[in-house]
Amino acid sequence: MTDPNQTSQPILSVRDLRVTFDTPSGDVPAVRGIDLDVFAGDALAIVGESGSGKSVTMMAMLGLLPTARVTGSARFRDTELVGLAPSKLRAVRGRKVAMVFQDPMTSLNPVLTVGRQLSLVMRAHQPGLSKKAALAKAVSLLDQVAISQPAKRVHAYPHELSGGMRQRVMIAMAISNDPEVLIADEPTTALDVTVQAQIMDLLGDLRREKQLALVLITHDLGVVAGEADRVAVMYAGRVVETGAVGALFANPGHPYTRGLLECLPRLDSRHEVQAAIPGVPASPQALPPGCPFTPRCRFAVASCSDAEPMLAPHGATRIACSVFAEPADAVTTSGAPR
Amino acid sequence: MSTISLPVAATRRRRIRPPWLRGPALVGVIVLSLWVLVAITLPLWTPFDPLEPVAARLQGPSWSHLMGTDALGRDVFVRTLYGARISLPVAAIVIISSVIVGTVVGAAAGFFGGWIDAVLMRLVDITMAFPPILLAMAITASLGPGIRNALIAMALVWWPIYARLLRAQVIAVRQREFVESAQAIGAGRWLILRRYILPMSYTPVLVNGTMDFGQVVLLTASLSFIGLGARPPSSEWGAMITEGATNFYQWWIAASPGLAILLVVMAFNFVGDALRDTFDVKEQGR
Repeated sequence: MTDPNQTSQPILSVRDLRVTFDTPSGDVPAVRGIDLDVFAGDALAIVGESGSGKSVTMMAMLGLLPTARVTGSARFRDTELVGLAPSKLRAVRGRKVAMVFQDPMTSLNPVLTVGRQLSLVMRAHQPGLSKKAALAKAVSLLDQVAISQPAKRVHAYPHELSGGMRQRVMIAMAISNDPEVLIADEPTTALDVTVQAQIMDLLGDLRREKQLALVLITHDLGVVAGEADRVAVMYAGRVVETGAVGALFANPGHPYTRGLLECLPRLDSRHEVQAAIPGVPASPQALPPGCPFTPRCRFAVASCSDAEPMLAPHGATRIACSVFAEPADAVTTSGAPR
Repeated sequence: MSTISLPVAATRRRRIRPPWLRGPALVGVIVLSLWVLVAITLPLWTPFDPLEPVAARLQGPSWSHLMGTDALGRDVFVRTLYGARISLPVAAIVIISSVIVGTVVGAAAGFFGGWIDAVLMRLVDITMAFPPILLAMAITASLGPGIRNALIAMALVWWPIYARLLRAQVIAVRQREFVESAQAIGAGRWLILRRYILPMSYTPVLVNGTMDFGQVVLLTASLSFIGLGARPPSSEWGAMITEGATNFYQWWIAASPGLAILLVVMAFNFVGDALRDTFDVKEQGR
């Protein structure tokens, strides 16, 4: 699946999505116009630092940010999700698009057994399902996510399970209503390294088995390289580089992506000091003029602060950078709207 | 492996005695159980009618009349025991109805927020601005004295505490991650409120409700003492103390119901304390 663009329609299509929070200290633009496409059986990774807007994008799309102002478009097949009535959105959440959160320790209801929680979620979407059938399905779901002794564990409370098992339960819950899109919001951050690999394997297996579209929100480039087909790198609420995972790793275009890749610890290097991108992530409340990465960018030129660059081709990827984008198509400083 | 750890956890859970069956709380549980038992079985074994004269007036305590007789020659001990048949059910009805109303109001306010929260909580503030006994007195006085009206008044005065407690809990729990994750997989609002938020929120209400039981017993007696609750010849404890107050030198007439109130209120406080220690929110893990 090198270029799904040509083979099928996207299941999930985001266009110019903007998310703004009204706070006492003024508007905070957390997401400032991003485009994303997700295809069946495809894994898209959204990469970026904390606060770059990657989680907010997905949560706003599902209407999980009641206080945010969301504009633009996010379509699931033919359904426009932005501005959809809460009851209809609820029917999409879990049934069509499911989400797995970062911290399995706090994401499960502590007062219900695993089986009860799974049943409740299934019965919320399928009112005809009997309690007995739901529990039986819960057992088979636990089996699918490779939890041993599922018939026994289905009666366990979350505190009786390890972190990795809880994340498996979260995944079981997410796939319990056979969604078409699975959004995993940093699914491995709270887990041990060995367990991380198991969870990523599980997500990959499920994706191939069920032809799920997988959206991986992460800041772990190792996870991206292992499981994703395509990558969107976000910085300060915008996509700064997007492309197939191989092309992006082989020939990163945007200085931010280059910086991220240089920060990866390498087994074969003798550097004593781990590389890092200088400075701090841009605050959405006080964005620098022009390209928001300029203050931290070692390639920045004076014109970078003039206007924010649009996405333009760079080799096999597309980048939002006026320095490195290919000049033929690049929206240069002079051409950009001021 | 985990197959080893599970049975261990199971046996350990069984061996620990719950805190409400230890120390003072155990005393409280026993005292309360005895009161309830007495209140239920009383007519089966008491030799005297609580409302009929059975002996000479104003007799001191003796073996035939353990707490003597009152100004009408009625057995004070038997009357005191019969008082439990009024005070305990009244307190139970007041607490249970207050908890129900408080739960509905508090859950609605905390869960929906916005103007619903504002309106409901102002109502709570207005009610709580008055000292409970004063407001209960005013309501009873306007409805007319009597144990039924006193009960209504107390329920009207009591619910806001639970509404406020529950609202605070609901707001805190609502922001927990597992609620968000339930929303993200399409759980409806009613399901989330009932299965995810309320079970995590009711603890302070439960603890306070138990502790307040004693307070309501006391308030019932207070209202009756000043003539707004149960009226003579009822053997309600507060009304009995009023009668005893007119026969000051026959101390047993007032002391007997007073002791009964003391026993019941202390027992409830012991149990409530233990419940609070058990369910202390600060000690609750994830």
